[in-house]
Amino acid sequence: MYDIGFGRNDINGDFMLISIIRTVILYIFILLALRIMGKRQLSEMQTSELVITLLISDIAVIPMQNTGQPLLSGIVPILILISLEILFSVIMLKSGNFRKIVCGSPEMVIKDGKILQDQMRRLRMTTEDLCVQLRQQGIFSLEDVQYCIVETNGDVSVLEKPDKRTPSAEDLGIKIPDKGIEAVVINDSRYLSNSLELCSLTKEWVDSVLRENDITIDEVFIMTANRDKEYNIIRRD
Amino acid sequence: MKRLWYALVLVIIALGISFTEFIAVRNSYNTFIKTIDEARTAVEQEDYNRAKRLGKELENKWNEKEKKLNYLLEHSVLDELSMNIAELSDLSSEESKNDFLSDIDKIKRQFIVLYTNELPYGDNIF
Repeated sequence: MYDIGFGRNDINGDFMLISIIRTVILYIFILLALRIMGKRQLSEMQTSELVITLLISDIAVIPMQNTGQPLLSGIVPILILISLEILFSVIMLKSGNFRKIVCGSPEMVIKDGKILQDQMRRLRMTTEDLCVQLRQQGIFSLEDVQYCIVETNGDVSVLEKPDKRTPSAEDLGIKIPDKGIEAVVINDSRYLSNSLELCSLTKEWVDSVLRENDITIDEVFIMTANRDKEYNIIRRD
Repeated sequence: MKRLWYALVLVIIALGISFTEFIAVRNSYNTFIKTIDEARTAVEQEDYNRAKRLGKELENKWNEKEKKLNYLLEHSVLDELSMNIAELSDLSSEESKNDFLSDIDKIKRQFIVLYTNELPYGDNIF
């Protein structure tokens, strides 16, 4: 009648091996799912994205822990959540109103150096919360702030008063040469062709630099370079 | 826009799996209810050999079907059905007639519940 053997659940619970296999399957599946969604860092997520992420993690745990549930009972809801998230994100791109409904709008809490207390009350934001956010941006005095905006993901964007801002090279009348971006061209002894292309460099140039420095690629931990062919090599320990 | 296509593919996969589950349960329901009714009739007519044969047939069909249903349904539900079905052929005798009838009614109810729980009605959704 019953074949209680490898892979067949017993009446009371689960085999650990089944849990292990399911965990690996679900982990890979969720990684792929998050790649498709194009997830951002936790601090940059909009409300809908955070909800989806939390839901996916909760749903995935159920078939991982309870092998009496079919694996598909976790996978199907996750597929639907990913599809909804993609659909919502596309609609938000096209429709500002929809975006406003789902994510809200940025709210100004400091305008022309004056704290908008009504706005702060509306946002249920205390002055302590505001000061914490400002300090994280390197601003230790409310007097230094001209504008402060609370973004839809909860982060705060700040514009300091003109006399408190760090002057730029343009303000000082200094011309700084544009060296382009510095990118990692060798990482852990492997060439990164995307970075080479970004800096308009070639593998042959990298090889010539390594030869000049009497170093082989296997000895390189990391090498960075920019389009002006300025480079920096860190050897392996 | 490419991601919209991915979303569409994922929705199609999810719907495909859901419909597969529904069809599998519905087919099981249709197949087994017929055999169950026949077995019940056989016992009522005191044809215990036929009832025993039908009980065995039910058990064999169920063991095959259960392997596929395990991918789609909660195992505890299927395990309970398995145990009830397994007892059936042993109860097909005059002495155990009432037990047989009680067991077979229970199995029938379980199949009905299994099927009706899959239907996207309001009480199932909420």
